[in-house]
Amino acid sequence: MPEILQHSFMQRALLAGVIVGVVCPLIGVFLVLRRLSLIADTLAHVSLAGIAVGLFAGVPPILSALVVAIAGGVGIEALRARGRMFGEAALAVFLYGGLAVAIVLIGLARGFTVDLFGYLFGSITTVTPLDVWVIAALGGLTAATVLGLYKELFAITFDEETARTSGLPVPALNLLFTVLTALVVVLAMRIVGILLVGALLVLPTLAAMQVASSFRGTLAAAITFAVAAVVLGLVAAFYLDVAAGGAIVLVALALLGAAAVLPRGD
Amino acid sequence: MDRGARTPVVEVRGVCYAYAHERVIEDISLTVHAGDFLGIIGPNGSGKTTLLKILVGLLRPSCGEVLLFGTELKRFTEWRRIGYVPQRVTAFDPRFPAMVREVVASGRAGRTGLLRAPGKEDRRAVERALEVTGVADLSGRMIGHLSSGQQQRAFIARALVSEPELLVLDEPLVGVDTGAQERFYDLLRHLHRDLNVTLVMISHDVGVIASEVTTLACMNRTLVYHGEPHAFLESDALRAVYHTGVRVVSHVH
Repeated sequence: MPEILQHSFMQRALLAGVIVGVVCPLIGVFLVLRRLSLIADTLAHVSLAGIAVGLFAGVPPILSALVVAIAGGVGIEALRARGRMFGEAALAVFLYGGLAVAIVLIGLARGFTVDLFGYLFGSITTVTPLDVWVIAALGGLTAATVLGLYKELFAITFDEETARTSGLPVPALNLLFTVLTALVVVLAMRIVGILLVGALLVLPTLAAMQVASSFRGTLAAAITFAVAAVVLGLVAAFYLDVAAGGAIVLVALALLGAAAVLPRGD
Repeated sequence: MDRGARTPVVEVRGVCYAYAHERVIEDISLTVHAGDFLGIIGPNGSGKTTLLKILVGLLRPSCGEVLLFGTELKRFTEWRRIGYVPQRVTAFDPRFPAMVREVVASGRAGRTGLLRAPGKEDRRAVERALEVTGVADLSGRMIGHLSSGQQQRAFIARALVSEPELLVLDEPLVGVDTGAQERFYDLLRHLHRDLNVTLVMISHDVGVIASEVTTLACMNRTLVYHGEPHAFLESDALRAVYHTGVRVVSHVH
């Protein structure tokens, strides 16, 4: 067995990483094409507040982050549906609100800065068995939901207005999709860190758009790129002793660069 | 076609609509019967698109009532009976990675039902829509790689794939070259005469639309004219609405 697979922490990291690599593009492709990429970053900052709550109150941070991120997602959708705030600026309310709550809580309870760094930048050595179970269960749920609602999500992504006229329950689907985005952000956070979560949703999608000429093909290519970035990044992190989150995103960027010079499969 | 029955498809009664406090349409009443081809004309900002958006359920009228297939708008749920072709200019990024077939099939999502995978009948409807609009050969191409005329026919295919009885089109010919416009009207005639689809269409080309439709409505916030198209061309309404003398080129088919 290669050395990398002999460590149980690397087995957990790879397992969680592959699941995250499959699930991130399933959300990311729709987000990028709807020009909502910033929602991923916003929810990542909101979930930092959830992490802080968890560390502060002594509950598993992944669970408190899930609760807070989902609440943030519902809030964002409510604000967007009312349409009274200027486009993406509405997201700033949640992005800075989440960050501010996190900073205050961190200030109140000194002493868990090490843990917090693990969430900010990702920390594959500390992925717990609970984390893996949560990632597998919620990742599976997310994938099943996105694939089950594939035709509806495609219709809304291509043309939301016409999707409304065809009788689809667009507001309900938007809310569900934002909640799924919150889930995926929290799942991916453990691997690449809060600050780089958005990269794992966006970069594989952009790379896929360089080579694919159908929507289905874009989804498949984005999943391939994301899984490759996560696995290669983790391997590089292990053997070169560099930060995994950064390594994964650098591989994703390299793949994007390579995809940009490849011909499109038209 | 049996025009004797004259089943009302759309009934608009005293409808108005206001954005904020500005009324963009006021006291509009008209009826579209099965088998009609209603053309809607009017200057920019005359409320044509607003009226259309009310008919397809995107906007709720501020006053008055609308009946679709005999059912009040609020209670109407059979949206698959209405196909909608929005203005081509509505933000559509040519880099969007989707094949023509995928875009066309998306028009059937509402009819197939939530969480249901498309079945054999759905796939057959997609093939029929691609055939009838003449884009079957292009079905594997990326939508953004098509010419504007071809894209417009793909969007009509998307509207037809749910097999609607009423097709609503909002200035579908903006940016489409003349040759493609001819093919487009051929397609509309085929839908109208051979497939018995009721049509409502906004156009800025008064002369062409007048020679294609069975009924013409001219709007300028209110309904200025509603009736037989050729009588309109000879009436004063045309000049009154457009202020300047519009040179009308009549096309006879």
